[in-house]
Amino acid sequence: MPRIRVNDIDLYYEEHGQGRPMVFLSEPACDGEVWKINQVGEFSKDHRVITFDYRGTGQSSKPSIDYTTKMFCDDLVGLMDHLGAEQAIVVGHSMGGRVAQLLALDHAKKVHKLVLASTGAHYPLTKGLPLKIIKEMIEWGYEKYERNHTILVGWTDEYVKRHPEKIEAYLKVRMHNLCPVEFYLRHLIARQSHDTSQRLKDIKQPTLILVGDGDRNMTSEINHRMSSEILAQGIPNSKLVLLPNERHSYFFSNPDLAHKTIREFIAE
Amino acid sequence: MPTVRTNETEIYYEVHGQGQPFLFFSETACSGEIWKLNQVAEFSKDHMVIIHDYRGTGRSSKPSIDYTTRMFCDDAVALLDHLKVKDAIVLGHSMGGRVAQLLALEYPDRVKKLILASTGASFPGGAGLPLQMCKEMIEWGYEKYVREHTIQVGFTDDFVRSQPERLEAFFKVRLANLGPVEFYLRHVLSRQGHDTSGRLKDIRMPTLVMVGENEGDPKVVMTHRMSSDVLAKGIPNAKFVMLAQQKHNYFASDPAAVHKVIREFLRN
Repeated sequence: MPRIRVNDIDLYYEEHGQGRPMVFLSEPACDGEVWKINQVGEFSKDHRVITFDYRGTGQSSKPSIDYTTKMFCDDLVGLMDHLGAEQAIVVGHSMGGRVAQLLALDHAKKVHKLVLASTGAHYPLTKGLPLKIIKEMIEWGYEKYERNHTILVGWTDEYVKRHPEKIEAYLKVRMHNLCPVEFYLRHLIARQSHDTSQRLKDIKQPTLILVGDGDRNMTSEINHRMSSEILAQGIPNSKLVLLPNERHSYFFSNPDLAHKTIREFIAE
Repeated sequence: MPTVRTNETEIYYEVHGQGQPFLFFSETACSGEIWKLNQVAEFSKDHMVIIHDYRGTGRSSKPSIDYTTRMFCDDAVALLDHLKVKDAIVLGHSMGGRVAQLLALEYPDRVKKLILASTGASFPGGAGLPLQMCKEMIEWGYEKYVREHTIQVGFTDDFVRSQPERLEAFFKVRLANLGPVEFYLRHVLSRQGHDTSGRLKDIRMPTLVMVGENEGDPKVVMTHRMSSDVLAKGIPNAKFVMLAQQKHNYFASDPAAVHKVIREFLRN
């Protein structure tokens, strides 16, 4: 099992394929496994795809300390240095997109092109654990919350009705190895405190901003449609692409469209 | 049912006895019912005892908005106005003691004497929902959390072992009035957001600061022992009393000793 020691933790990672490095960063409290459902197969054909488990998730260490997106970014920097991976295409989904922004800002040379998928620069009001999430986790229990929330946020009602077996296939990966709730909460706090809203103009790399046109769920005061538009307005060299009839988890429900959009952007 | 409409909220209250008004504020997310276990009978002998249910608890309204200790304070002032009570002895336990401090600061004419029981002026570094509490509520469930947490924080091992029937009598009242979890969380947020630490010197009335000798929740940054010490040092006219072999819920576990301390303070 490939692991490296970085910033006093063990970080689990995988590499697939050869070519220009392409790093994938997943949503909060989600390990790197989800990328193996579709993206690793597609992009490892002609890229050196790098996935890893954030601290607090999967097979990486889980120290009981405060987490920040800066810390996740520093872990990734340690990994890229270890692998000698420079000038990578960096794809960040949801919280992963916040980590990707920090990498593009603080380690600009490491980022060739940036894909910010269903993410944002900040939560202006809620800095701690959002009440709505905690309430639902207490009322439903952790696992049921994660199931319900993933479905509600991830896909349209129509998709859920028509493809129950696909939803189960995704949840099998997502729920397997679900991290202890403590680390889910630590990831949420990291996400809520992230703020790159004043630094977007300094992101100089070509940037693709992807968002499902129906990604409107509110866990606190801002949804991904709104926050993607803020990114598109703030990042100079950016392009916003709305994916029709999609919510948050199109990497799984519509990989062909997501891959086509990303490949067109890489080819530009 | 006696209620007063204030700030678009119905506040349930009860009045027992006659004499000098004596207003009680209970702990976080706890209705006024708790005072009927011991204190109402004792102090209504020679006082007009006023108890009420905070917004979000018991029989009062439960609007789904952000709560603050200032809001609880203003609800109580509206109640005093409604009852045509000019001034009162004000006792606040735990979060209730934070509300009582605000009442003493914002409406000093309404507070004859102040009793701050196991409370504090602020939670250092503590805005937002505490991670440890959220984790335990999610893992254990809401009711079990309140039960376990109250036992751990509220009662000594010796009391739990030797007085199970009194412990159950307490929980019968405490858990019967447990509001929906949303409002427990809203109360916790208001408590965490409270800060009178820079204003203690402006509390001018005679003040009794009480705390149990064995209070010290290992999970919190600042224990009630420490925060009571801050109050006793910061409030000019304060008297500090440590209750021997007690934890947080001495109003239930040793009412005779507590009543004696309060009566001595009221006499002087």
